Amino acid sequence: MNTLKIEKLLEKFYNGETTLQEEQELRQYFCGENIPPHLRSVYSQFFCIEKSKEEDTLDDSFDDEVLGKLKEGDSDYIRIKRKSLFYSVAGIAATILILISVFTKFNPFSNKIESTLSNPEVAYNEAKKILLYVSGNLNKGTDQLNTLAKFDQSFSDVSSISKFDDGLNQASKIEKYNKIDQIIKNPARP
Amino acid sequence: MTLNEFKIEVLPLKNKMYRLALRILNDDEEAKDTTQEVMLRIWSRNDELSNYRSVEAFAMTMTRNLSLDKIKSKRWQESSLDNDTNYTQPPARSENYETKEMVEHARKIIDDLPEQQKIIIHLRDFEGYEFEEIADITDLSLNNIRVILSRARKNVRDKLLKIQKYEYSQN
Repeated sequence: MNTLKIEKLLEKFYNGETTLQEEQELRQYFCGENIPPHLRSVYSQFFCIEKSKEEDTLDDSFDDEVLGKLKEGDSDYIRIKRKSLFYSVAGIAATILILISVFTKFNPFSNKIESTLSNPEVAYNEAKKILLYVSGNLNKGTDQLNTLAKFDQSFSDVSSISKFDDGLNQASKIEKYNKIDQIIKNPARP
Repeated sequence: MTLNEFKIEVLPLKNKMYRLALRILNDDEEAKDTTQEVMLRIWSRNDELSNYRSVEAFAMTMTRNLSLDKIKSKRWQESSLDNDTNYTQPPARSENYETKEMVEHARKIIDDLPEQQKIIIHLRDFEGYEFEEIADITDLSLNNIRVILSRARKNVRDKLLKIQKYEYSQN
């Protein structure tokens, strides 16, 4: 192969346009002898590629290890996978449930307060009627509350019971009289 | 897929998967773990496997994705300061020391490439995949792959030339 062709191939190579076969040609050329000095710098790259392919392999113990794990361990792996799948499905289900419950309770998107009357005049009158009715009933309620005042009055009447209490206190002096009476009846005892 | 089919179709991919993981992770223990994990995942996704055009592309894609995930979480955990410790000392001078040394340099340069360039140059120049296969694995368009590959190769070349110049000036 002449140098010109190699240089052309190299250019293609560095542009990422060579085929696998052309790359093999380059490799063979650079692994051989008589490489022109100005091309020597690049040939080490191919040499490196050629060499390292042989190294870095896994031996048979790796096979045994993998096959052993397949037999006993693959169920383990699948279990872990199922578990994580279960968690994600459960999470999604819970989210959906919460969303459904929220939306059925208070639906934020549907406007429930819709006017049943088309004419605003009628609506105004209707609203006024309702408000008057409510205030009328409210007044009735407060009227009945007036009777509470009577309860208040009777409460002050009850307070005169304290006088009865006073009387009881004074009556307790009678006890002294009782003691004297006993002493008179049994003078022997001190 | 039966166990026998798994042994014939998937298990022989282990070295390709391992090397891709190794290229991305730069750690042989972790690369081995990743390969094993992908194997187990392929087995557990047995039923989906028929949806994919090739088991190999599927396996390589999973290896790539898992390795990238791992490197991301690793970077998160530790700073990449200790990256330089991976640098192997060039071998002692011998008659073809120059080539050996350049091989080491090239290796180091490729390891230091941006992830995407590293993956594509690995798949093409180390594993000899066709562009269509690389497209399957990386989910990139053919044009995009060519551009990235070109960039990666030029990157390696320029860095090698720079090292060479530096060494000549030293000697």
